[in-house]
Amino acid sequence: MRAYLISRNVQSLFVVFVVTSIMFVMFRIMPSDPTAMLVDRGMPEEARQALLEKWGLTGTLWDQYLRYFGNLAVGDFGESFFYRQPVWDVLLPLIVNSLILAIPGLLLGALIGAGLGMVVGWSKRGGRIENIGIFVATIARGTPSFIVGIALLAVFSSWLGWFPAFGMGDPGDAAGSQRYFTFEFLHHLFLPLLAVIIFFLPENLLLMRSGVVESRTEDYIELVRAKGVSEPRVAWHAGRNSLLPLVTWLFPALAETVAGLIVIEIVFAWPGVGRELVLAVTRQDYPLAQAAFILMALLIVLSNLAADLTYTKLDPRVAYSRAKHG
Amino acid sequence: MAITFEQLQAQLDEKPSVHLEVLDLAVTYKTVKGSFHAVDNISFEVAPGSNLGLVGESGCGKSTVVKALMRLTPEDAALSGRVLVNGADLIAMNAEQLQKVRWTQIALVTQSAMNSLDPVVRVGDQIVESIRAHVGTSYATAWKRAEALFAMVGLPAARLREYPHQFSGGMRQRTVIAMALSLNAGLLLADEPTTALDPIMQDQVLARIQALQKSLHRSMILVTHDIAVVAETCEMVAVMYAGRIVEYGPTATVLTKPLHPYTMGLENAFPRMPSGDGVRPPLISIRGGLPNLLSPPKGCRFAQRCPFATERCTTEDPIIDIKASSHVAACHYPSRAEEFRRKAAEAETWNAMEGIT
Repeated sequence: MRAYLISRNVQSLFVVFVVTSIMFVMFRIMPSDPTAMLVDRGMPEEARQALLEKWGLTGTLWDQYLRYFGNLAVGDFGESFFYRQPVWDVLLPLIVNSLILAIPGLLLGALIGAGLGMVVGWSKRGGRIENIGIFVATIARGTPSFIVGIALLAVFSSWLGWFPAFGMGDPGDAAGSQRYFTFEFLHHLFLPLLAVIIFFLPENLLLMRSGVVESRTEDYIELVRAKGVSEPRVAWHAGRNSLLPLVTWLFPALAETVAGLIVIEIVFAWPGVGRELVLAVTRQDYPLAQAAFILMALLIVLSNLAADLTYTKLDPRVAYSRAKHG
Repeated sequence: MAITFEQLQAQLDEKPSVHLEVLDLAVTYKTVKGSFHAVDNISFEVAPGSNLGLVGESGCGKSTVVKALMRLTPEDAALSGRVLVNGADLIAMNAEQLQKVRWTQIALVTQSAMNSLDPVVRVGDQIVESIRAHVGTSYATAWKRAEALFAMVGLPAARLREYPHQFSGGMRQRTVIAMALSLNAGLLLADEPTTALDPIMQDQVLARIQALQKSLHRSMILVTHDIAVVAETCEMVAVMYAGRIVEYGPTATVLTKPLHPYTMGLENAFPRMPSGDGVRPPLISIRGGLPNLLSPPKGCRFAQRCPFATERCTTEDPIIDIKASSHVAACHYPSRAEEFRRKAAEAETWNAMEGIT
């Protein structure tokens, strides 16, 4: 198990390294000149050189590449061209904003989705609960997240006026982390959070349902029922076994979800990493965009790693075969 | 108030065995093509502490009977008739009453032990679950009971902490047996408990079941297609064919003096020890297959494959009345049984069945 963990981590690191390298090259072969934005045309040559040097844009591509990784190794992502501030200082609050939207949204989406999937899967085959459940979930799953977002805004913000339409609200007197505990913040959080939940829930529901439908006819479910345990307890056995495919899907899905989250951040003008990433690309703000991409690569690699580890925990058979075969 | 291990053991030891009476039990599946009578009005009885063998070829409805006795048939199956467990009708019970009878009075040893255990729950916890569903006792006490059960079936207690996939087929089957004994239910339903095992393991598991039966004196229904096993284990035997019981009586009589041609054919199909002159009786198969139960034949269901069938057999359905005598058969000609048995021992009789392959 330990050897497996180590090799799995080394693999993950390697993937991040490759992604970062590709990103580095891709930004530099784009047919535009970022220095045009940084350096005034009429500037004297010496001043221009000094500026380029300051931004790390001198030397061959290879020199820049080595310098970039050297800085990355000590946790220095460079300075944003646009904000003229260290990238890390720009990103950190945005990361917090993104996570505060994404984590509860995804968790609730997964939990509610799995719960509803359990109910729909355990309901009478061909009955009303099953039909309605599958119908609604399929429609919700097929709807792009920007449509869901716009629909939510149209109904709850424009029409009913219950919730604000964009942003995170004015921090007012609350400073630092305090701002996240105000009513105003929660008021602003509600709609985008709902959008994330609606975006993530249907797939969970459908996967859980098909798992439960499959396992409810297994022999061991019959034996559990024969034991005279309560029906909810029988359902628990079916649900417990259906969690396995859900978890394998869940973490890689987190990675795919990133795209959906970016769209939701943009629709609701939520000041998160995703929205900033899009802005940074359009502004040709290399250091910021690259850092944001590295973060996402890390997120994706970590979710895959987490998927593997959780699966081992949930299904003892996986751990067993690994221990056996190395 | 949680009871202690000693109290639990004493309580379970005192449990009487069950008296089971089955009257006109029928299991019907509604399909688009019509009603499918998987089990058609069967009646039998298991006296307290006795064993009944339920034999017949694959698809004759043996396992469906077992499922019906615990009301485990799928939702779309209609059950009718009466299943009296110490006089209480299981078919008429509501979900709550049923839940209380399951495992405390009737326990099940399933056919496919390979798939009968939840793969993601520790074996010990699955046994504990069956105990704590019915007895108000602590986890620790239930675990102790599980250890005692494992000892009874010859498995080390330490392995209770393992998962089913870490067990061999034989160990899983023994686990399923241990689980069936967890509340010392008065009636055990053993649904082909050895089918999935290799011959050596089959023998071991059967010996285990027989030994446990001797010491625990439970009532048991043993479903099998192995006549030899029934001969060794069961006082009474019911032979099933196409969803019906065709012969019913004390095992010794049914096997030596069968009344129904199907029973005679079934015996022919099993390898037997050589008789006195050292000649091993030939293996003879019954030609043909089970009739379509969506539109069962008008007369006797075995008539098509029966070498002794007459006009009457294809038009009139023979009735079996288990109360009429100790040994009964669903055949119009019980008085000609002597003659049938003599002819049935010869391969030509069965091979002469033209038109059936």
